[in-house]
Amino acid sequence: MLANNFEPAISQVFKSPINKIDNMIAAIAPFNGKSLATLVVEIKDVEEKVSQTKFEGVFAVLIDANRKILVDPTIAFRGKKLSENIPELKWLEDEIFSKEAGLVEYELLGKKYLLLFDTVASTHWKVVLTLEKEVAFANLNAQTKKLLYLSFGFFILGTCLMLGINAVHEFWRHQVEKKKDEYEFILAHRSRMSEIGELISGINHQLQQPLNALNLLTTSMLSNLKNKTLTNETLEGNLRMSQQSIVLMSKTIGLFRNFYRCDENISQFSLQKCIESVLQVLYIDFSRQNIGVEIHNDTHKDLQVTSVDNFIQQVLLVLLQNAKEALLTKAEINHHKIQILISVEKDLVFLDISDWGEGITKETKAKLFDNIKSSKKDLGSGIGLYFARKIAREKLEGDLILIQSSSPTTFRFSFKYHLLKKDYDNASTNA
Amino acid sequence: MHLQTLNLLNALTVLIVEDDEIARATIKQDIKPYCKVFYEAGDGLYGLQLFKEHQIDVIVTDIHMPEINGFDMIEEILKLKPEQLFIVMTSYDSDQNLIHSMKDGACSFLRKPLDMEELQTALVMTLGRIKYTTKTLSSDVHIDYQKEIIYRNDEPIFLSHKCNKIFWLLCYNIGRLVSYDMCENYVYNGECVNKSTLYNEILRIKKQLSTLDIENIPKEGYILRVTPVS
Repeated sequence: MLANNFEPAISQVFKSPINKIDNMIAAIAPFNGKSLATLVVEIKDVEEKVSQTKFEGVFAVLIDANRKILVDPTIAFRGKKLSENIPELKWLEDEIFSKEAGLVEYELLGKKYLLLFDTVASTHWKVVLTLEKEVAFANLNAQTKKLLYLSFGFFILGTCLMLGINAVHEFWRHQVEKKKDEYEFILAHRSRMSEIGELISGINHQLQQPLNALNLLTTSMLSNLKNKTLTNETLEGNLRMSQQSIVLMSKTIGLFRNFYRCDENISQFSLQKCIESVLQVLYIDFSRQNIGVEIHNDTHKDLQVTSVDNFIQQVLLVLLQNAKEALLTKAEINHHKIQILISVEKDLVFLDISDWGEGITKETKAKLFDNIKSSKKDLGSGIGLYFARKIAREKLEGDLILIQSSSPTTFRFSFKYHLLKKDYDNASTNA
Repeated sequence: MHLQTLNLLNALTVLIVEDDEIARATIKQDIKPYCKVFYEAGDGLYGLQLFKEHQIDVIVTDIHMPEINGFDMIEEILKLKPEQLFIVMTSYDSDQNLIHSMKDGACSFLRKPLDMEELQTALVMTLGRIKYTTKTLSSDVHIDYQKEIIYRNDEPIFLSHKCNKIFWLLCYNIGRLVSYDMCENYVYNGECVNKSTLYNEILRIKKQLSTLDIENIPKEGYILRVTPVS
């Protein structure tokens, strides 16, 4: 009925769906551009008000936005335009609809009339008061008072309507906010789970190499022992290599443990080391797909940053995984490359992550950081950007933006070089 | 594994392609002393290079390596020498699908984590799978695949380096087309070569081994045809 692009509106008069007799009107208000609240009112009430105020020589008329008469003392006139009822007064109708408010004189069937009109706020309905000129000037005081009451009455009606709409609007807005928070919470959890899943897969691969080496070493030593070909030199060498493998496994486990702890502490750390630890986590996965990551950090090799290293790593993880996905779609077997460029300006550190993968289309670009993804496949990396940006903005006093869509696709991740606890708390609450 | 069995490996030339240094060192420790010639490579590209430079009986390779992965390397090698033998070291998960697409017979698979004795057993088993140690190519020419020696009238014949490589490439692909690309790849390390240069080399081969039936397919390459001995 009212596909009106979510503008506030008042509907046409329609029959009550309950008793099919009463006339109703509906007032509609949108919010969030996605849904509507409706208030339905019997037009009888409006009519009552109007007929009550009918008096000698004056009558009031209510006309809707389509110029159809809603309320009129002359019942036959209702539902039709003024120009339909009295064709000679078409000019009058045009006049009424050409301005917000005004005073017009007109003559009909030998009598002179004064017409006062106004527009009901936020709709385009016209309130029209007509009085015979004679009557008007005869008893101005009394008439004026009554006129005042009438227009006041309409004013009150309009206000009540608006207040009612507002109340409904507020209620529904609150409900939607609640749902939205719940939804985001679930999404964040999902994203976390998918992230952890990828990391666990990474752990599996990282641990396989040292385990393989260990098994080879032990079976080799056993076999040589049986054949009496095991020299002390070989034994010692093999045991040392075994130790190396064990240390490597322990380091790997430690590395991954850092990623799923929920540590939000601010500390000082080397940015280079922070980035390298992310790369280590992804190393096996990336080398399987022949993807190399270059860090361009000539001027800031020893940069010490005060921030939450865990968060920076998580954002980097998301960006690098996305870059990897983009590169995999390119058919060449050649060595794929991801580049990380580090720069510092004022109090912000900038990390530009670039890949020469498939690039980002215009359509995707618009929805890049949205938390609602259309394709299931995107669930892993898709939600990631939304939360990565959230983390950058809310926890790190920085931002995450796309500065180039393709050749290379470049994301710019910025965060405060020196994050103070105060900033950190503020940032979270401002979100 | 019994020493006597291990000593059987002395007939084999082996190439190991594995990026994990500790694993590679351990394998070298237990295989090199027993085999004829032992080569090792830390990645697929170097492995491919070694293959092109030397005759190798068995290639033991990992799959997940930097530069190019194991399957790509195997594919490239099989294009040049379809009967090359491989032992593939695989981890469980994602390799399953890839394994199914591999040609049967050319490869055997070992699951990680590797057991040294299993590897040694697999190598010994390949001895049985090395086909045609010798083959007769024509009335007076026969070859020893393993030793890569050419005999004419039972006398060893030595060709120039390039001719030799082209010759063996033809032998790996008897009855199949050896394209110009394959020659460039295997003999000239991927560099572009004039067709007339190749033509001249083939002529030289024919001069020394006149009874060989080497046919030129215009614009495509060459085929070495061998009629089966009755």
